[in-house]
Amino acid sequence: MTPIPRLHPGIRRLKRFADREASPREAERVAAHLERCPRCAEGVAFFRRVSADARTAAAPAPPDALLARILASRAAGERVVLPAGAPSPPPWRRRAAAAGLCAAAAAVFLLARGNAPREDGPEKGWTTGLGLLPTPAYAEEAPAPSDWPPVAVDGSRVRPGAWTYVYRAIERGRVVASERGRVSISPVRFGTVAAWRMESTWVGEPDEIHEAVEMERASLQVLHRTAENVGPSRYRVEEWLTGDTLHGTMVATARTHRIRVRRYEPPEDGPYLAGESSPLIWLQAVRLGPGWRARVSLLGWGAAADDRSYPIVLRVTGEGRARVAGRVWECWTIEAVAGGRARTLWVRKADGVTLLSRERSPRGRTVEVALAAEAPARAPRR
Amino acid sequence: MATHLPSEAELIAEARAGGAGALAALYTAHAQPLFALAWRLTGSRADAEDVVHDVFVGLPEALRRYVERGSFAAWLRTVTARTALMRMRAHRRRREVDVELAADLPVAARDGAAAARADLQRAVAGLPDPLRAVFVLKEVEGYTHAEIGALLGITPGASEVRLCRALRRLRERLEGPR
Repeated sequence: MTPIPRLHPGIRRLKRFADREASPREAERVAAHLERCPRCAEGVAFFRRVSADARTAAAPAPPDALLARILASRAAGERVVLPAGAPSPPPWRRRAAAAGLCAAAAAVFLLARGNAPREDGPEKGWTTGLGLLPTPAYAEEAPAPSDWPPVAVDGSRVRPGAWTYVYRAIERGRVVASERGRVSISPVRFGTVAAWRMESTWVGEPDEIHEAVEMERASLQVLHRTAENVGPSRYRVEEWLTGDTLHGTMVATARTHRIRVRRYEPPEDGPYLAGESSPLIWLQAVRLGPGWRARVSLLGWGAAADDRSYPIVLRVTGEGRARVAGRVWECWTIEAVAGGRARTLWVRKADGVTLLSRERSPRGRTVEVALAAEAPARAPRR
Repeated sequence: MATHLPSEAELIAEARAGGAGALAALYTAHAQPLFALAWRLTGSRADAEDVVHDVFVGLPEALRRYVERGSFAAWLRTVTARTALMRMRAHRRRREVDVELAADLPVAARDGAAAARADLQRAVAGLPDPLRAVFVLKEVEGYTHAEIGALLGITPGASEVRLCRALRRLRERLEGPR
């Protein structure tokens, strides 16, 4: 009787064999192994069975009303900028292409890449994370009015502290997702500069995001940011602003890919916020009131062409009340619009702290990020 | 009198010019597989509906950039896949999949093969987003690892590794720990 072999092909090799993608030599060796190894033969059979079942499994049909909804959206003037149909090469391949250029040309390329719209790609990018602001995925942004007065920012109004938020997605009255995030603000020295450091941690499934942003103490201008994603997708990003240029690196820690971040950020698109928790600090530093409005931009990572900063329009729409930990607070309600998505923020009148951020999708899903705890407890300031 | 049925190229030209009838005809011809793709990627019927809605709302303008080279269906499929992937990244809604799959998946599993397919779909829906995306794109849609790498911003090797991780998890789920 032929003994069962002790050495086995790896799962990738078996999968390539199952898909008939192995080279002839590899296929011959795996086939010979399978003749003597029922365990690996079972694995190959499983792969083939799964492939066949996955291709023939039923999927739901689009609802009958979808076409009417599409045509109604078009008739109402709704427009969406779609991503490209042909995948763009991954960043390291673009970098390799750029490396073939002369040094001067390469420098121009790197500076221009983040700002020139791709020939067939979206002009507005996306970002990830669970925060207080809307996160447009790909929708086109209507240009904001350009004659708005600049917003006065006074960083001395900011108070240090720590805030715990709960993210919930609600459908048909049921909570279908729930995650927690913690944001803290503390005074630090960043080199010789007096700064605020805002640290945030979002614990989700399967990822966790840790972020730290240093901002100049008085103006809240972004000086430096690090963000680390821990989970199946692991990466670390470090960015800093020098003048109007965003610099940095993005490192995929699982694979040692290192991507250079460099992009010109037009001053007219500022002020720039970093991180989707940024309303927590930024709205403390402005004087809210009836009719208040502002146009800001949220910095993206800039590690890929469509990973861009995007504008957000904020405006006070009224007043309301929000309950936090059993206590009711008087609030300003602020509409935050980005990329066709709108969120309503409830911002405490007493100190500008964001208590609640809520977004309702046309499909009836509600996403909200609500303050659950704070330390130290706020005292009325204004 | 013979009725002239417009060709796909004529429909594309008309839709590009903003013709609602042509857009509706393209929807009728392509919406079913695109909806299935978006549903498999996002794991949610509501998200799939939003993805297909957005694809067809944006289609007339996107067609102005479309170069008629290769299959229109394949181009549309890639646009839909990228739209769904961007939505997944932006929404980070891993847990909603588990809740929705029970309602979305076909109920009638009358024979063993159908039951096996339904079990597989549940197991696939339970995969983390990065693994499910690669599994769906490779095993259902037939993209190569190089194409998946370009779609997801990862290397072809990483795509292969994710697929193998997905398969290992599926096997554990369907056949128990080994």
